[in-house]
Amino acid sequence: MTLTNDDDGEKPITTLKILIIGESGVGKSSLMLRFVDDTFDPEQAATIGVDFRVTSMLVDGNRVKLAIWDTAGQERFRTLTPSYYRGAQGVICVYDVTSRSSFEKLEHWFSEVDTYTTKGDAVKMVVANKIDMAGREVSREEGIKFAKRHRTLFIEASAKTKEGVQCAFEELIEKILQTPGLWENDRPAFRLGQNTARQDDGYCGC
Amino acid sequence: MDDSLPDHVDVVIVGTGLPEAILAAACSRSGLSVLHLDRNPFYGENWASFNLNTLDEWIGENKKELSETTVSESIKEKIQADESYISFGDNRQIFDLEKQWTEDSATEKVVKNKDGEETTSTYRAIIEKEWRRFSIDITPKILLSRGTMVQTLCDSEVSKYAEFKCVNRLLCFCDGDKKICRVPYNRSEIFETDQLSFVDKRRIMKFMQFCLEWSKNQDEMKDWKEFADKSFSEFLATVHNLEGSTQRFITDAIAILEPNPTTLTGLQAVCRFIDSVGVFGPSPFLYPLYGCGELPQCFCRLCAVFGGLYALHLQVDGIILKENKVVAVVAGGQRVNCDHIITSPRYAPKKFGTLSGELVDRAILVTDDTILKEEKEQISILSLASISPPQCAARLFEAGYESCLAPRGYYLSQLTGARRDDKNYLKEVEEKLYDSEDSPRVLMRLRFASAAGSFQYSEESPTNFAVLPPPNVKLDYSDVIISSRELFTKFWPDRDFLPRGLPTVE
Repeated sequence: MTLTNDDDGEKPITTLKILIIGESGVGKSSLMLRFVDDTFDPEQAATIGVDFRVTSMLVDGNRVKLAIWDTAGQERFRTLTPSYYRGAQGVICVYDVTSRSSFEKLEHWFSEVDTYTTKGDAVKMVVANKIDMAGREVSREEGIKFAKRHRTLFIEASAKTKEGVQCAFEELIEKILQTPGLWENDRPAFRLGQNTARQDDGYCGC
Repeated sequence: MDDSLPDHVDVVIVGTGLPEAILAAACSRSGLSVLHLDRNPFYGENWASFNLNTLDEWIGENKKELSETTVSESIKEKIQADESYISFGDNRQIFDLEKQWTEDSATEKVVKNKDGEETTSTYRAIIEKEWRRFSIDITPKILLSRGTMVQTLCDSEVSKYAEFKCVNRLLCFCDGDKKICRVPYNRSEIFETDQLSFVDKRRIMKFMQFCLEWSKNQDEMKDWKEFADKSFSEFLATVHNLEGSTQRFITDAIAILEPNPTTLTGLQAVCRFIDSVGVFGPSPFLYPLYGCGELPQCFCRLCAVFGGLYALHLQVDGIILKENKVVAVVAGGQRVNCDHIITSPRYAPKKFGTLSGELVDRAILVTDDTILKEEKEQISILSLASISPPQCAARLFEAGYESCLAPRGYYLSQLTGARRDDKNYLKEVEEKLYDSEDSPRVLMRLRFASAAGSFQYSEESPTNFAVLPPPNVKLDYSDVIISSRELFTKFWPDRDFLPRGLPTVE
């Protein structure tokens, strides 16, 4: 299996919607920016202006387009919209290993995912971020135990040192593609403002 | 995590209905700091969509007795000597709520379980098990392909947060109201339909040609001005020889954007219809996947992306005034200073004004079939103009699984009509539609009326306080954009309303 971020102009076989959720300050935007742009800003302020980013991957020779959605700061008072969860095939739940409370709040995020995701078999993954930092409050074993209980993937990572980031996304995408029926679109709809507009069969055929 | 609200923002918006969400997005997008609050734990107020469980919660909330607001000591401490305080309102917006599972819902049906074994279960049990698959609009509307809502969604790029489908069937009654027929959308459908005679097809095409020219230079056109304020039907019959079912296709369906039309408003409605045909498909109408409740959420997301702060399920207390201007809100036990306050009608203090009092009647039915069978599942609008008073603007919107509104095999039938002469005409309409032997089974029924009309400000209302309108009876969203833009331009005349974004590179 090969996974690369290079764009060879090939038409993607599917577009996947991936969400990143978790408490404020656990490094959700940093993980996304590390994965999409390979950058890291240690001074990254609370999320403003980060919406979603589109990138693509080659999986076994097939191009897969990824739309990775940030929370736009709406997690602060737990006011993510149900609309944010619609149609997501993959959900990355992040906690900060140096913050016990961010780990304890995972339960809340999992129940939100279960309530709002429209695809019952959406793939979930727990990412333990900031493993480069001193003052760890959540052990690897605890993280694994939680993930096992919820039957999800688990990985430890650091957006700062890159460790585990690429790997996390790859594992998630692989699992999604292996889940039958998850990534085929059964109810086609369209977005506005794209090249969907047709100008034929109107009255003004004159 | 920091749970405290900011000390100061430019604008506080209370209520997350669609007009408030649009305003929040416009303010945030133009660089104003926004705090957006709601007492409800969900987005959208009476513009929301619910699944079966959250619908029951909504019904419960709307049946509760309204409690008197009291001003606590902790609030009094936040008010300075030269300031005054007024509580936010909690004005009822939903009336006459009644929900019932019908007798038919107790009927047993054979279903296959996971292992392929056949068991029997009642319709109600089957539906209740699939509660998450419902998305029930409190305010169903459609978007006109070339209307102001689509334009605003595209310009602001809010469009990227939602997906749409075409309303692929426009229906009306024909053959003396005995039959439901499909109305042709465009040139080729007019030629193909077997509902019209050859002569009538030519007459309709000729009339459409007239409308196309009329939309460009109506002043120079002959034969319509003397009818301008008269009924549209009279004009169609006298000038275009369009009568009977053929005339109904135009007055009831093609001109559905302007119910009970005069010749002038009728022609305008037909032109708006024609203008949107062929943009995203033959149908001029669009509907959001997962229902209309998506739209307020999409605008709220844009607001958040530009830094707007959201707090739902919050105690929203009141307004602090100084020299007859609003200077702060009190919410969640905190004082937040602000320059403007904008609310939905629910939160308006009575001292500042009230709604004009119109009502929109609604009926939401879960059915086991469509009102007009075809091979594929359809999204339909049925004009009810011929079986109810035309002033009611009554219509039915029906969609199901393909629009992500219901489990496979079930439909949501949404009836909407303005209340006239204190009478809910929808009840009679519903009987006509669903009481015959071969009509679809109605399994669940929810009826209510929602407050409509416009907000009438009192003389005491501060100049930096405003109330956005409640949902009206209109089929499309144009009025919502117009009133939101009007208010934005009034408060911030130097700022652009949701301008086109800079091109971004992916």
